[in-house]
Amino acid sequence: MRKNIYYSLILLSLLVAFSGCKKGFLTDLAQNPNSPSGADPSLVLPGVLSTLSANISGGGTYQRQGVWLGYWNYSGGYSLNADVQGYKMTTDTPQVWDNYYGILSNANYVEQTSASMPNMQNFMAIAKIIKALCFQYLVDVYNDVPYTQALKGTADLFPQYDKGSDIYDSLVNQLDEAISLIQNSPNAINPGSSDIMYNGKMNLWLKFANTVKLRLLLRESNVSSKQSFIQSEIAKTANVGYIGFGEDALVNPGYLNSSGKQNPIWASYALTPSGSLVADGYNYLRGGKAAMDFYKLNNDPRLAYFYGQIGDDPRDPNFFKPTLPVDTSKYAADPLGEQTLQPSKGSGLGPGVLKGYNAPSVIMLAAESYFVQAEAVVRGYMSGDAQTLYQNGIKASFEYLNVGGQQSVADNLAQTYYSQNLPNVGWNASTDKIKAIITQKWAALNGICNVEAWNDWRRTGYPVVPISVYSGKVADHMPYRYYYPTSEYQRNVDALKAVGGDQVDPYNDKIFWGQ
Amino acid sequence: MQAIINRAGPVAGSVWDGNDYTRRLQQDVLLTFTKKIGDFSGTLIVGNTIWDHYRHYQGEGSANLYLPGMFNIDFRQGEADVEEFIVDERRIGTYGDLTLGYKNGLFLHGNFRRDYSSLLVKGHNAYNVWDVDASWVFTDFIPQLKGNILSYGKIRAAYSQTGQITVPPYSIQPAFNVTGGYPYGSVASLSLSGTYNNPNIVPENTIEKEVGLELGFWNDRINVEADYYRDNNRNQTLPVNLSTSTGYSSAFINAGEVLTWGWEFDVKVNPIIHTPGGFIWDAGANLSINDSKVLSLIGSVKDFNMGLNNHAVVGQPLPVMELTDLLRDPEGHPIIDTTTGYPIRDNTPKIVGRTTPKYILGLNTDLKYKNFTLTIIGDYRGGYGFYSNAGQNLDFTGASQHTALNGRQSFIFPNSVYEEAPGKYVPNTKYYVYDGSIGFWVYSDYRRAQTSYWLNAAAWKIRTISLSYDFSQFIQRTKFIHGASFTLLANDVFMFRPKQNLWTDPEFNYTNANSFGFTTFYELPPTRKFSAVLNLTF
Repeated sequence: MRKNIYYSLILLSLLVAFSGCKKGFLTDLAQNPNSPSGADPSLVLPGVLSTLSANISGGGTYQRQGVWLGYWNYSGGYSLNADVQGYKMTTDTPQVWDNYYGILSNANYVEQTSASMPNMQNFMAIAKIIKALCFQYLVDVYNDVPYTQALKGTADLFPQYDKGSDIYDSLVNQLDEAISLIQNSPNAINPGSSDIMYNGKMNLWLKFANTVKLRLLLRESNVSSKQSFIQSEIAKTANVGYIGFGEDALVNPGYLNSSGKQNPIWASYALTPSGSLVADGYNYLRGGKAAMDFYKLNNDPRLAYFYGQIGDDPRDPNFFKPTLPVDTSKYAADPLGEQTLQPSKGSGLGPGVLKGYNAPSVIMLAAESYFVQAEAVVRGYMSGDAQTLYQNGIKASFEYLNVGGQQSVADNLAQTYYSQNLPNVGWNASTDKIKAIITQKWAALNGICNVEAWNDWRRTGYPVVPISVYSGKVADHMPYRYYYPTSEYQRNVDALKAVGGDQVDPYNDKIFWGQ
Repeated sequence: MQAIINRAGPVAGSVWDGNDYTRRLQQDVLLTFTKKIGDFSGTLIVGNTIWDHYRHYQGEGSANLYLPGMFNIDFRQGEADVEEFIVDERRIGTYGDLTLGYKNGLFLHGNFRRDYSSLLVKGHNAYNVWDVDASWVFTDFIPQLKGNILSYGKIRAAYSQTGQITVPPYSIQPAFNVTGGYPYGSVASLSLSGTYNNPNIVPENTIEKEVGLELGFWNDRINVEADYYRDNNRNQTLPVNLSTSTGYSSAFINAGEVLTWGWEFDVKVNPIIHTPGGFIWDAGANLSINDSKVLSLIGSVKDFNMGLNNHAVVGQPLPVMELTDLLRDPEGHPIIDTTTGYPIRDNTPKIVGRTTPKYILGLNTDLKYKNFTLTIIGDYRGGYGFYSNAGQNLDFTGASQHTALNGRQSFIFPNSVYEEAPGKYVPNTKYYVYDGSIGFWVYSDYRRAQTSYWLNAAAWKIRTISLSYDFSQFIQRTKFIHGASFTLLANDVFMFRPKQNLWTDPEFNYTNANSFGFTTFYELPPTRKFSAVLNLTF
């Protein structure tokens, strides 16, 4: 027994000795070897920009808008996509809630971290602009969403919703602040290559912010109480200018022909890195009849850029070099509500949408900027030459698509096109200028910014596109908004109910700016 | 030898090679002291444990191999996919355990343990585990109680506190992960993890109270045990899903208080029959009833989503399932949309019930005759439900028997009503579904409402039937083999479940450790297993 006690004492002293040298034995492991606990804003910004552009123009998020607006359709040989063909929506799909709040979480980190660092005003301003864009897209489909109480982590696990109209007002302020930060920070660090959109050209960010602001204000054109606000806000930053020719807001982190690294719309609908067709991609998502007919009827060479020829696909090198003038008989599509044409009998997406695995993805085109300005002038919100802005919009679209293979040819073909004496094509031939502007914007953003066409339809009633011919459709018009997502019903239902979010009828209830 | 010339194939090959290194180090120091003085005995154990678990994973691969038959990452198009992570976790525990006995019939036992972990921040990373229990074999102390009927009696009681840390490593600091697709050449990007890593997490703490009674009758031919326990769990760590408008999609939180209680009964009859001819029949049964109730979460929060439609809801058992239902009239009949004839989904989920069994009844019996033994084990689980997402998907594809019930023709949705005037519901005898095929089974709200696939999970199961023959006596003359038996074994032989459960064995479900009752088509279907076993003892 005594011996045992001695042995134990020896062991115990060993133990004590061991514990003595284990300072940090536990705490050293707090540091995560797989993920840093903080990141410089310049390391977070690229992902924010590329994720945003993938949402806007990647095809998936706004695919059904593309179908509803007559740009796209689904292929024969697949069972009818009754949800999309019949305007059916649920709380599961379509949804963009998580997409945009995910970007916002990171953009918010960039903004807040930059604010606490010296000379990071440019990063802060870019983050503010991106946040404004994301919140706008959320309001545009849900109306009331968490804004003032959002993005606080566990400080507010159940964020209350704010009124869409109030959020819009605040976003205008945020954009003003972003503009002033860029203008008044001469010592600010240039974002350089971490800015995969404008490569640190802050003058372009200024114009972009102002264009986003203009579009935001114009979106409220139906809100009678805001007319003077719209006018004064536009005037306040009019001298900053708007994005124009060659200033498209395009994002390219350096897309590669590797899995997960291709241009997002290319990756979804064109070719895999090994050069075969993406399964249920190109041969599933096809051209739509409404837009195709518009190009055909108005002698528009962009037909050959938004759509591929019957039976053709991106494996064919000639796919990327349409021959002009366009042989319209080589393009065919089903109307909304029908899926009869097999891939060999119909047209898929064209080389202006599927530009290549390494093509930049789009946040906003200069063409859209011109059309937005033209409308603002027609509505009397700002001064300018509406006709020139309108024609510049068409020209910028031809340039973006590189119609004819070079800029000068594109410019000439654009001029030939808009000089025709056709309504909604030629300025003077168009009696309803707003209709012409919106119709041409729709014609320019085909497959590139589908959601803007839907936004315009909900705001102005234009473009006029045929309703679905599917007899099982749940409404005889496109929906006016989305349902709130299932996740809000499961995770934040009290806040949702507080604004009547569970009672939303997307076929009758409208966004505050809707018509 | 002829060279094999491979041409780039039309179908890309894919390869992934991983190198997973795991190391576990454990050091235990244990001291045991025993002492006996007269009728009193004592045992003291003190010890210390140091535990280290380390894992390092590296993998690389490509989904774009171009040479058929060459599963080598060198022969790929584009960049290789690579992945690496390291996980290291340590714990230190120190403990003592004391047992005092009196006349081998009355025991008092206590233990104490303090654990430190690397998982939580200093100051929050330690917890205590202790227990005091006593047992008293009263039939030894009061011999008058012992007789022909009662042969053994014991009562016991325990009071304990346990702690636990259930968060995965590195859950207390913000985490930035590489943004999907990146790096693109020299452009790198990081994104904030969707999981909020909560530095304020503290260990779980459970106070458990338990009393038990053990009785033996007729010379221990019948043994009965009964237990009752009641646990108060504070700071239970729940993985909850958050509205992404918070900036995160999930977090770990410490829930306020969860009460768990239950009964356990066990009866053994050894034997029921023992004939002089050598026939022995034994049987046993056990029943457990488990229930729980969430008393509080955080502040005034009443409901957290924990994934797979499982929720923690104040006043309800943990977990309960919340599912979307059809819109119904006050009597519960589904209301149809008169333009399509389809029912309509109510988007606000409703609590439909618990997802873990409330009652488990186990039965077993042994029949022995000479060298033969027949064993049958069965059980019943009930008082809970499950959601068959697999059924929903089988309906979606049209592969289920369900979808052919009406020959894919148009029909009137059973028991439905329509709203003739606001608030006036009329039994539906005229509105047929628009399309009794893909329209109804794929696109209608019948399939989209999750309650259409919420089912009673009750089931009787015969888990094991085994017949063995012991032929030791025939081989006893050999020097090397001392025993031998041969067994025919059948596992998961029969299942009896309610008619409404068209889909599957409710036990085969998808789980994330906290959420249950969600079956998808990713689980292997239940299988019956037959085996023959030869047992030799050397």
